[in-house]
Amino acid sequence: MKERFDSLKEELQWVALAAALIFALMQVAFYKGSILENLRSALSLLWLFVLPGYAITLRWKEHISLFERLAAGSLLAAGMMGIASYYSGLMGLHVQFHAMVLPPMIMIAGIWSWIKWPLKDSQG
Amino acid sequence: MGMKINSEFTVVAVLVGVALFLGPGSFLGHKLGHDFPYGYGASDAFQHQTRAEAIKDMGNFRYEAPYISSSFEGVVGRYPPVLYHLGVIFSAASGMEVYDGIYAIVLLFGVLGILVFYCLVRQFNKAVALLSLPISMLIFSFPSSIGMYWGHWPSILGQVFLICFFWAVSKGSVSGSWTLIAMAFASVMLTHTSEAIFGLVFLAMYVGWKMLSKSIAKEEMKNIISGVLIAGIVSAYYLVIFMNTWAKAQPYQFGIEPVWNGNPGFYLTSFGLVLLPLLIGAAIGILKAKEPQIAMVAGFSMLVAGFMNYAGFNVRSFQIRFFWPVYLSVFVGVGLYVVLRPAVKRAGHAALIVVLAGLVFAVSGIEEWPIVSQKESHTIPSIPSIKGYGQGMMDGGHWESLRWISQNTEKDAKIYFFYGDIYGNDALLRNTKRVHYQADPEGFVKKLQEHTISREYLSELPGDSGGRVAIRTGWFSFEDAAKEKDVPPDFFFGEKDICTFDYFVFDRTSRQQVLAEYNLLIASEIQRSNASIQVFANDVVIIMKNTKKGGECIYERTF
Repeated sequence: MKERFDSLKEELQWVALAAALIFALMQVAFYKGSILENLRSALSLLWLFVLPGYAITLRWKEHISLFERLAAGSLLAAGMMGIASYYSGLMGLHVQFHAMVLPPMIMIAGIWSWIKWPLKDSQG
Repeated sequence: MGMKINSEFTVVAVLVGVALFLGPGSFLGHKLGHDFPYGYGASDAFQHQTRAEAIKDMGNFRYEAPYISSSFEGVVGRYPPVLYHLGVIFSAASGMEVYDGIYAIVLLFGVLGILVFYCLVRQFNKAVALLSLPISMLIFSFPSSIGMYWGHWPSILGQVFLICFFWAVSKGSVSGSWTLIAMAFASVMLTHTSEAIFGLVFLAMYVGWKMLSKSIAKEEMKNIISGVLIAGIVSAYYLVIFMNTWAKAQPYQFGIEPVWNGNPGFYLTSFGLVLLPLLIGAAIGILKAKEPQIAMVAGFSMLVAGFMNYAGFNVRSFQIRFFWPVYLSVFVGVGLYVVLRPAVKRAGHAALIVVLAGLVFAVSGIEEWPIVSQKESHTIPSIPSIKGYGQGMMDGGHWESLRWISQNTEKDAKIYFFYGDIYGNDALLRNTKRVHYQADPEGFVKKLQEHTISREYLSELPGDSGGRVAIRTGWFSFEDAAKEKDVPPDFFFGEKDICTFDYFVFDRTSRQQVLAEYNLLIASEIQRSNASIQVFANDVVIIMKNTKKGGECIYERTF
């Protein structure tokens, strides 16, 4: 198990680099806004979509490149976030808590599925 | 599978930066936070913004807010929910206003969609993928960008998830990929359900093509079918609502609609000179179609989907065209690659970089190309270029008044809007978060022409009637709200006694100043009756509170 988590170290460095890149690009695109505003937005994108996206695609670590997992994973996480938010709201959890509660839940689910159901073959 | 910084990723990062700058950056005036909804170009944009605001206030999307659904309480939330929830969540996390957050999500995810499509094309050829990237940015050029500016946001976001679905299907041979397919397809269904139909068009073409070329494995087929079925299960709760609202109000009907009336639709000619490499690339795609490439299949299937307006899909097909610059970019990439291959072979990557820089320059709008004075964009072939729209239709003065009403009036107050230039886009009035009526412009002008100030004005109860305004009466039973509440025939439109309202809103300025002057004349007669007090005023708007609701609130006279 330790080895598996160790294998994430390098990837997480890339995720950190991706986060820095997102902030830098947002700073350029939204140069008229404040740094704080852009930083908060970049961190929100990271917390809500990039990290959960990374976690839910972790299971395919050996089959799909990190670049693709980060890009498509962020979209998948966004979809899951929207869907989970809709249903959690209907079940009584006020939407104002979702930004705090749902990302860690999605990340835990992703990491759990990576640990619990490792993919054996190397197709694709 | 790790990653290393190489020239390809550096180029992609730069191009993504350019896309962010030209797209979301210019659409939002290069800043994320604004004092009022910025860059909103039509009523639909406000429609989505106010729904997200309502969800934020209510905590969930079980019901539509009464001020959205023509005052009816208990109307089922019938719009696909993902966009709204993402807007609220992003605004909560980033500290942005919902009106900024929801638009930012649409624009930023547009760029992410471009990036994921790049990943798809890359599976086929890296150089083609790079060449197609600048073309994808044309989703931010007119007329494609109308989708964002006018508020076709659920369709835009739905198509971003559709691209993700293409990507997930491209991983169909990987173990467990049914999960990826299920997540992507459920996201499509719950963001803009009609895009799911086009997703199935893509799937039919992809699977059919693979079957013909005998290249589909059992495992891949199993993953695709399982993924789609699970997505259906995940979306089932909402799909019941969809089938009883949208599907009943707008059932499929065969029809041919070559032109999208009232909208500057996107047509193949809108590509201008880009059409040339596009056609070359598409022809090559057909000629070399032995082994189906998923990006090519996505391109062809979305080309077909975009022409399904000839088979009854009308507006939904025209919406697909907003993203044609992304879907069809693969053909342009192939076309350019075939033409430029000899040069690239001789000069190496440097030639590719030069071509990419040229493409970015061409689409960036820095300079119109070719430099020919044009009166209409289609008369002379050109390369479409990206331009933002500026502030949009909202302004600080109106926004201040709408916010004032939402924060300072009684929750059950009824608001009456007299004439205002921007009120024709009535969804913006929902920012009052109160039930509201508005003067019908034609009736209003008629009264002005008759030189009359009266207690009754032809009025409209604006509200979102898209789909079916329905009340859920059981798990699978829904009733029309108007029928359920047994409202009179003139409930939505007819002569209304303004004295039955709690607040009156008057615009002080107008493009036709005579209308604003008539507004102020009515306001003065209301004030003269001692039935109202002015409770808010700024340079653009006056709000008066009716203190004699139901009584004599205005001096009726001619002038």
